[in-house]
Amino acid sequence: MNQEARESFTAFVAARSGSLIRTAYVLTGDQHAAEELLQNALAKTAARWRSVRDSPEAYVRKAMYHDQVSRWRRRGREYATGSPPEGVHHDADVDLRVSLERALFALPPRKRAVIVLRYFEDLPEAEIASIMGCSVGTVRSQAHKALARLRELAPDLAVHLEMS
Amino acid sequence: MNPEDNGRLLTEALTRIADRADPVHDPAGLAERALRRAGGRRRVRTAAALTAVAAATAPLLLLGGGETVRPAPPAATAAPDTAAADERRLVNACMHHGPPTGGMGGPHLLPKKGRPSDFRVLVSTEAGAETVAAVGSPGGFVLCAVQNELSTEPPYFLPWPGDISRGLSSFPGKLRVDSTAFLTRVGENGRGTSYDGLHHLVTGRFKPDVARIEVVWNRDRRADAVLRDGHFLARIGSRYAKTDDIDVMVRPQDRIRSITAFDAAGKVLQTWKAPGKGLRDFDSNTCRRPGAPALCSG
Repeated sequence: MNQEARESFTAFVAARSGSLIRTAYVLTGDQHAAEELLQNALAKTAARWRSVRDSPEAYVRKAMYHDQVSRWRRRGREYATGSPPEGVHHDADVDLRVSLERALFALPPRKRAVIVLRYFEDLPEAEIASIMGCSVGTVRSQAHKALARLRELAPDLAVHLEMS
Repeated sequence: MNPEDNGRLLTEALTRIADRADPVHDPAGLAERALRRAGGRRRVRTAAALTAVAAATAPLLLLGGGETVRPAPPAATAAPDTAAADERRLVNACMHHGPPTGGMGGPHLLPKKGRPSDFRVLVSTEAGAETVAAVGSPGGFVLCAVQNELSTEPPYFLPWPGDISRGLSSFPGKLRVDSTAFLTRVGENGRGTSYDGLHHLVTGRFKPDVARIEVVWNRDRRADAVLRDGHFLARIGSRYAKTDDIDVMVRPQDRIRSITAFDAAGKVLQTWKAPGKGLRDFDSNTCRRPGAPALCSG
């Protein structure tokens, strides 16, 4: 990589790392895991900088999603990485938020990825499909199933999470 | 509540989660590490140099259909300094240039388990353009699949199973299984199917009079292990089973049935047989659970 490319890559990381670490944290629920996920994705992006420099952020996100889904699947089980703040809650709205966060952490990997891409990244379905390597129809189906699963995981949310 | 309210509820929840992330305090350092790992300065040579430092016995693969695959013979031996430097790069890539980590859900970085300089290549083998390796320290080891200094796995630390109080070679018998695991193949980003590609491997230790180790998987798949300095490693290709429901995670059903050690004359020294249907996943971290397998002792 020549000096100009290195500088442009470094400038990209400086400009976007703040946003990217947030996405990594939403995926992993753990600061160290998020940092490692981002580091790995940036290394892959740097290796292909010449071909992705026009849209590097999309490439980084794609690498993070694929890496994280792959790890979840390989471990063969679900585990809640990271937890919402503990404490005794007497506020119904706070209880609701805690329930939703717990349910999000408990979603299976692909359903969680679709929810994050759709509601946190606010990406169009076509782009979600491209990142996940599936059809737009599958993205819609997975989003629908994810909402259903969230209702199962947190029954107190059922009235708030209506099926679309 | 309408779908827009769904979206708002979820967006707010995900934003609250994201707000708990610590910001990146050194973006320039983050970029530099990424560039270094991307091979901006040097690359691990996976051909001649690593083949030269691998064991003398090249792996022989017998596939289920009777097809025999032999890897290319080792290239000319590389200069010792080059070979040592390449091994060091492999260790650094395996270790992600830092200390090992605990398993997911447990403590993350484990600096007390050592730095990359405390680990060395125990045994490695080539799988296409990738190098599959076990790198170890006196306390334990790390498994990895590496290509161009990129490792697919976090450096999960696996303590040596069994009793090592009298040294790593003090186990009973002629061979000892230390781990079986699935590792993700490197593949290419953006190609969804590549993330289904896996290695299924077994690592362990053997005594000096062992000249060959054959591993047998289910469906009668066999491979000779790579041997080096008392450590062995054998692998086959694997992948998740495809289903119509993309959300169904069907884990590979690859299972090791037996491992046989032979002396130089071809005589069987020991055959280890896996319990039940065979061994799919094992490492010493499972020894802390109730009903620990027999591999945890000895």
